[in-house]
Amino acid sequence: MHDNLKIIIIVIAVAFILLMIGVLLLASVLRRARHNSTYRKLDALRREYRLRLQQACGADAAYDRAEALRAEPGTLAWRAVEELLLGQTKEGPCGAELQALFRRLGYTAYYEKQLANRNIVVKAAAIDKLGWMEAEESLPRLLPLLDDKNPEILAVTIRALSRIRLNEGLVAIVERLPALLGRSLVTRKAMETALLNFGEQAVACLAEYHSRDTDPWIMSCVLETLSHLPPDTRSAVIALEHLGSPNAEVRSKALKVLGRLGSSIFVCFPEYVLPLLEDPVWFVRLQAIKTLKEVAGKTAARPIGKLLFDANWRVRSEAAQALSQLGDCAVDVFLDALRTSDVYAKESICEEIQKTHCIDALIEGLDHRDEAMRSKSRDILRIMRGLRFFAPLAEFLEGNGSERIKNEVRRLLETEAAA
Amino acid sequence: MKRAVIAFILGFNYFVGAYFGIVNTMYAMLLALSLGAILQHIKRIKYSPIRDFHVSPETPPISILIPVHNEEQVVVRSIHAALACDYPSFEVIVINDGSTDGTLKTLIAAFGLRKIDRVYRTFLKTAPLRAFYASRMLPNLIVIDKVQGGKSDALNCGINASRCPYFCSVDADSLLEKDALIRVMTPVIESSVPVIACGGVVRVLNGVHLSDETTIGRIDLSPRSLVLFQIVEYLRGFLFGRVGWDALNSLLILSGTFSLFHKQTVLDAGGFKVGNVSEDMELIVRLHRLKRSQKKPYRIRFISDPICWTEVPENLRMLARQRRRWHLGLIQSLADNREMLFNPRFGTIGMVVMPYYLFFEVLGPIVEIMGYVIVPISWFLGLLSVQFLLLFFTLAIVYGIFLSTAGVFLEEITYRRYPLWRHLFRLLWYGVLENFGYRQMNAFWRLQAGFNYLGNRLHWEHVERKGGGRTKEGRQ
Repeated sequence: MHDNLKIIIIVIAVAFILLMIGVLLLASVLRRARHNSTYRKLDALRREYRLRLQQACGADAAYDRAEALRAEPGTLAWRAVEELLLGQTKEGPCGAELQALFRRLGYTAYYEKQLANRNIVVKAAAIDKLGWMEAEESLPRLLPLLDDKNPEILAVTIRALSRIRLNEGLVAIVERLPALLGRSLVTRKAMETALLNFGEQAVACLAEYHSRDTDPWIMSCVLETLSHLPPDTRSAVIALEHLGSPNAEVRSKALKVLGRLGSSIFVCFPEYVLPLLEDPVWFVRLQAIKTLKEVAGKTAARPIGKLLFDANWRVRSEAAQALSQLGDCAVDVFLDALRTSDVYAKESICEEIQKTHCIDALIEGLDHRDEAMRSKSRDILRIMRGLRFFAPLAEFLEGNGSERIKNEVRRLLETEAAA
Repeated sequence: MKRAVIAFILGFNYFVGAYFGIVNTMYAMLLALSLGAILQHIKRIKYSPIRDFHVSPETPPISILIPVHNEEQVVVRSIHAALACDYPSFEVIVINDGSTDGTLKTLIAAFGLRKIDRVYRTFLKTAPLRAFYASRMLPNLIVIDKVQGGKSDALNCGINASRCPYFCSVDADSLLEKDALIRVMTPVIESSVPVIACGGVVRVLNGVHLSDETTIGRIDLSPRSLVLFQIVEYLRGFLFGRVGWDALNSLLILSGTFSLFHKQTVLDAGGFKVGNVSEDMELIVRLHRLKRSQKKPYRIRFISDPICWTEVPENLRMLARQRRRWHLGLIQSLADNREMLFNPRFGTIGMVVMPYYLFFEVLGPIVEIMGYVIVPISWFLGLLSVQFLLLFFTLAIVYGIFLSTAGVFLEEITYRRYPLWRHLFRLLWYGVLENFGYRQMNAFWRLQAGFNYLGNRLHWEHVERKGGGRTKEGRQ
C-alpha cells in the first residue's frame, strides 16, 4: 500500500510536469505564430500609413492629415500610426504640428487616462509616451506625479517634463529638488541628465533657485547641470559666488562651470581661479587646473606647473596633461620640473609628453634651426631617457626618419645608458 | 554487514527523494520569480532612458579590460567590437598575459601600436610588466604586455592601469553588442542604492553570422549538437537562473565574460584572487563579504538586455576542461569564504545562497552520480520495484526537460533572438535531448572537478578558441 502510494504520487508528478512541458511548448509555438502574424500586419500597416502621411502632407489643412491617420484606439492600426509618429519625434524635437496631430488622433487623451492606472509599468509607459509626444496640454496631469512616492514614476515624470520643455515643468522640478534628491528617490545623475534637456531656459530657473537653497548637495547638482548648459553670465555669477563655499564639492562644481564658460565671459579672470590651485582638497585643485587651462590659456602654464609636484597623483597627472596641451609655452615649465628631484612629478610629465605625442615634436626639435629649441629638446629627451621613458626614441631609430636626428637620438641613448 | 548496507541504501534512497524534491522546488521558485522579473524588465525597456544616458556627459567612463592569452585567432575582432561600442567615454585596455603565439604581433600590426612608457601604479600586485603599447589612431586603446600570471593577474593589471571609476571585464573570444555598455551601466545610474557590479547576458556566438568583423548580423544556429546543447544551457542559466537570483538580490555569480564593476570597491576587496580558476565568482563572493561586513547598502545586479556573444567549445575535450574549471572555481570560492556559510551576519547570502550552492551545485553531481549507481542496486537487491525505479528516472528526466523548455520559453517570450521556426524547434528538441547523455556527462565532469579539488590539482585548464561566428563570406 505504501509503495503504491509512492508510485501514484510519482505518476501524478510526472503527468503534471508533462502537462507543463506541453503547455510551455504550445505557448512557445502559439506565441511565435501570433507574434509573426502581428508583426506582418503591423509592417503592412506602417507602410500603408507612411504612404497616407506622405500624401496627406501635401494637403492644406491639418484636419486632413488627422483624418488620413485616424484609427480605433487599441487596434494594430492605432499602434502603427503611433510608432510612425513617435519615430518622427525621436529624430528631433517634436513640432507643433506633430503635437497637434497626437492630440487630434486621441493619443494624448488615451495616455492621460492611463495615468490613473495602478500598474506602475503601464503608468510609467504612459508618462513616457506623453513626454515623447511633447504633450504640453498634459502638463497639469503630469505635475502632481512629481509628488509620487515611487522612484520609477518620479524618474519617468522628470524625463517626460524635460522633453516637454515647458518652464512650468522645469520650475516644478526645481522647486522639488530637495525632496527628489534628498530622499534619494531619483539619482543625481538621472536628474542632471534630465535637466539638460531643458536647454538654456534651465539657466534662468536654476539661477533663481540657487538664491533660495543653501544645501550643498543640491547646490552641487545645480552647478553640475549649469556646467553642461550653454555659457551664460548668470551661470558665471552663480559659480563665482560659490567659489568660496565651505563645501569642496560645491567649489569644484563652481570651477567646472567657469571652465565651461571658458574665456567667453568677461568675469572669468584667472585671479578668481588661481587661489583654488592651493585648495586643501585634491579634486578641487584638479578641477582648478582644468578651469584655468580654459580661462587663461597659455598664461596658465606657470601656475599649473606648480601642481606638477602635488601630493596627489591625479592632480600631478592632470597638471602634466594640461601643460602638454598648452604647446610650446609649456616646454620651459616642463624643463624646470624635469630638473628637480621629484620622481613622481617627472614620471607624470614624461607620460603626458608621450601620450599627447609631444614626444614627436621633441624628437624633431633635435634638428631645429633654433639652437635654444634644439638644446631644450635634447635636455628633455635626455631626462626622459634617464627616467626610462625612451620607448619612442628606440622606435624612432627603427623607422625611416632623418639620419641626422637618428644620430642625435643614438648619441642620447648611448650617453644616458653609459651614465 | 548486509543489514548495514541495506540500511544505507534505503537511507540514501530517501535522501535522494528528499534532495530531488527540494532542489526542484528551488528551481521552480526561481523560474516563477524570473518569469515575473523578466516580463517586467521587458516592459520597462520601452521607457528606459538609454537614449538620454547615451548622450549625457554625466554617464561615468568605463575601462573595458580584455585579458588575452594565446588568442591570436579572435583577439582583433573582440577589440574592434569593444571599440565600436556606443558609449560617451571609455578606454579599452588589452592585457597580453604572456602569450606564446603571435597574439602581440597580431595586435601591433592590426592597430598600428607603438611602444610607450606609462606611469603604472601597483594598487594590486601582479606579475612583471614588459611593455605598454598605444595606438596613434585609437587614443582610447592601450595594450599591456606582461609575464604570464593567469586571468586574475591580468585583470588586476588592467585595474591598475585603468583610469576610470568603473571597469568591464570582457573575454578575448567575445563580442559586445554596440549598446551593451550603456545598458549594463543603466542600473548603476538609476539605482539610488550603489550598484557595485552588474552583469549582462552571454549568448553563444558559434553559428552566428557577422555583418562585418565586429557586428552581429544574421543569427543562426550552429549545426553542431554540442553547441546547441550549450545554447539551451546558456538560455536556462542566464534567463532564469540569474534573473531569478537577481530578483532575490542574492546573485553569487556574474559571468567574467561580461561584467561591470565599481573599481574602488574591487580595489577595497583586494582585486581578483590569483590562483582561483573561477575569478568572477570568487570576486562576487568577496564583494558581498566586504559590503556586508561594512554594513553598507549595495546591489549586485544582473540584467537581461545587455548582450555579449561568446564562443563556446565545439568538442568534448574542451567542454570538459571548461566545465571542470567552472566547477572547481565554485568549490574554491565556497571553500575560501566558508566562514560566510550559515553565518547570519551575511544575511541571505550566508544563510540561503551559499548553502544552496554548496548542497545543490557542489554536492549535486555527487548525489546524481551516486543515484545512478545506488538506485539500480536497490532494485537489484529488491528494495525498489521496477515500476518505482523507472518512474523515478522518468520523473528526473521529465523535470530536466521541463526546465530546458522553460529556458527556451523565456527566450521566446522576451528577446526572441533566434528568429526562425526551425530555430525554435531545434532548441526545444535539444532541450529534450540534453537530458539523455549531455546532462550526465556534465555531472561526471563536475565530479571530476571535485576530485581535482581534493587532490589539490587546481590548475587552469585552457580552452582553445577557433574564432567561431561567420563572416559574410561564410568562414566559420
